Amino acid sequence: MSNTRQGTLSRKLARTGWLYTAPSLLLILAITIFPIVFSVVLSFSEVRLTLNGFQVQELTLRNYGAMFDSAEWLYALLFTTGYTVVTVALELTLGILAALILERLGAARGWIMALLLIPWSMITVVSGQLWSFIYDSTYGVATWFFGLFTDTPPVIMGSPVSAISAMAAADIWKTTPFVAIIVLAGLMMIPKDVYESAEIDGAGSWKTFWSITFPMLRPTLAIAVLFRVLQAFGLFDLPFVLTSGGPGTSTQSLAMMGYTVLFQDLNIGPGAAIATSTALIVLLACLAFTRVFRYQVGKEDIG
Amino acid sequence: MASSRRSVLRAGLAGAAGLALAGCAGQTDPLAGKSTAVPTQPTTINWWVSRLPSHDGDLRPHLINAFRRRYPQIDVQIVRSPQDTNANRAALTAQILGGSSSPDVYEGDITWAAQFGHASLAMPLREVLPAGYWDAFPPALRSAASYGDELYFLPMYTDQGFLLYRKDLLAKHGLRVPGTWEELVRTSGRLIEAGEVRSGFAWQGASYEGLTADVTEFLADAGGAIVADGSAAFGSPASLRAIEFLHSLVTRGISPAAVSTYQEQDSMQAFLNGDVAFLRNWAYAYGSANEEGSGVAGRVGLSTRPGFDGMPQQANATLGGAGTYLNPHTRNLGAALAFARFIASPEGQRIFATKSDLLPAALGDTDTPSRTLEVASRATLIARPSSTPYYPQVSKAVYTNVNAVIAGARGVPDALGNAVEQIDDALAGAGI
Repeated sequence: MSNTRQGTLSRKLARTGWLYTAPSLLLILAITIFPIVFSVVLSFSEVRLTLNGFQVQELTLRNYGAMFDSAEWLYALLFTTGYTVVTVALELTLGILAALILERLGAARGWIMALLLIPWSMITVVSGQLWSFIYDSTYGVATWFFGLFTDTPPVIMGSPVSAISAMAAADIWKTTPFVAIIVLAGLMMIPKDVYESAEIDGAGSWKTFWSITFPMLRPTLAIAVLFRVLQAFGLFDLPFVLTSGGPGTSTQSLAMMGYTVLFQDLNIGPGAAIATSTALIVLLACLAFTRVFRYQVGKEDIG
Repeated sequence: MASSRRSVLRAGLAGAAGLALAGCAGQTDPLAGKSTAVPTQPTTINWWVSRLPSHDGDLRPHLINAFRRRYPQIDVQIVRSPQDTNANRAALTAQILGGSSSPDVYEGDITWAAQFGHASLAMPLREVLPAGYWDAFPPALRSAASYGDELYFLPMYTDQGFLLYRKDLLAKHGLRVPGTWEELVRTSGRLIEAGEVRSGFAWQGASYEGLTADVTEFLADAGGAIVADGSAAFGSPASLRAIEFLHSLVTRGISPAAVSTYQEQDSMQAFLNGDVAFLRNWAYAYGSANEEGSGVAGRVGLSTRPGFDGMPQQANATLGGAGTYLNPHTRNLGAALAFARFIASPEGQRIFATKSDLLPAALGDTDTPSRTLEVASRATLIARPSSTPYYPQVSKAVYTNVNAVIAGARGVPDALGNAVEQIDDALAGAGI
């Protein structure tokens, strides 16, 4: 008896809940789900642009075929992946170091944190433009500096290796503070008594970091990495401003290639295929990553 | 719950496909049922256009005012377009593809005709113009406006490549303006040796459309082309000669190593700084090099581009500039057409010639031509291979591969082979 009444009640409640959330669900459907589905459909279509907008000629796998055949796409995939792994790893290392220092600071911490957040709060296109002044081949300060050690000043954006490194430096400068702040929050949540017992047990600072701080930071680090990977994989503004993909196509990321194919070539099908596959890759990477870390989180019994 | 989620997804997919397929049956002729007559009632049209620099600031009010003296009933509202060419193309595409009737007319790059015609982003204009209308304009411009047997823009202003040189340095060393590239290399060598400049010749070598424009000129100098008879001609001996020459400019120190990162403003800066003695640039350069505070004001000369020694066709210049396109969804066809035709008319073109450094599309009917106009009229205009709807891909194949050569990241034959493959894929509509 009471069971069914409870069932009716919860159904009623659920219905009210659905009713109340319906407007926002519809909105999400309209502005998020529909465009995603539409773009997936386009990626499987031969599309023509006509007076009536997009016109699907036929459904086909050719867009993906052309994409997998394209050496340019393969390079963009490798470049984006490699760039993401390297920059996120460096940002994580530097971010942890910065957070460890920040944690030890007293009254100055607030001010330093505010200062640190300036690069993070800057619009990437703007900071990218500033970096392009630094890297400028004629009057750039970085060009001048490296020129002190070489016969002729280097053309930083003129060779693949230096252009990619320069871009990574701009990226790391901008996003390390973000990692630092997240890690700092994690550090402050670690109970002090754990450190005290470690000290009593005679653990050195190195041992303390690897046996206590780092394991207890894992959930926090997982979040930081997740955010950063999502963002780094969508790399667009920096190559757009700094190199326009050059030299050759050596700094062309997947997002930039997708943009070019879609909006410069108006090649809708293959462009949608690039966008869809990029989203899928990030999604899978993040799912796999959270799987691994959820296990870790469970083991530490945090979160 | 799971099954209902799936069905929502299925419905969404079907809806999306249905919506896209619904477009199949519909209008095909954007001119159908529209009058080309100039309206007699008060009408307002929207003109999507970038800022057009003039001697007194902005050329657009001059054009609109002159137009309204003839057609007081038509009001022209300016819609500011994005400065960047690709951002502009993306914005226009989104708006027109969505069926918007505004803007009625827009300024578009002259290389867009085939792509925009193919994608129904521009009104076909052959029918609405009298026979012989294009006789007053350069053949290269007509060919730029053509796609199939249609025409997709009306002339607005043009642009072309020039050679700027430091006349003070040439005079000081008793040197003349180089007539060939070989002479330019020798002259540059002497000026570098004398310590006058750090390198000789700046141009646009970055990975972008500007490099394709430069390459088009050098190919014409060597007797070649990017595309000939509908397929890539970029692997020809002429192409090899042209690209090897560009590469040698960097390896021999005639062009700065940084030329592989130069867009227009960077090459201009190198020239204004006095780092180089020669500059390839567009029509605006001569005026701005002589502006106050340029550092080389009054010491700059202008000429047509040199050619290769012994080649018949000299003074080649890539055609650039913009045309006036009509939105196929315009509800004011008559007024839009009247405005586009006014800009291309002798009266409209004279405003470009007298009030700005922009080159009029029809050269030759100005009484007192500026130095830029006078030199411009001596050049042979070369159109980029933009008569294919896949031109952006063709151009990208050119500029990415040639940029890799200039940056020293790739050998010439390798890069040309790669480019030819990509160009042929693009022309077949199979590129990505």
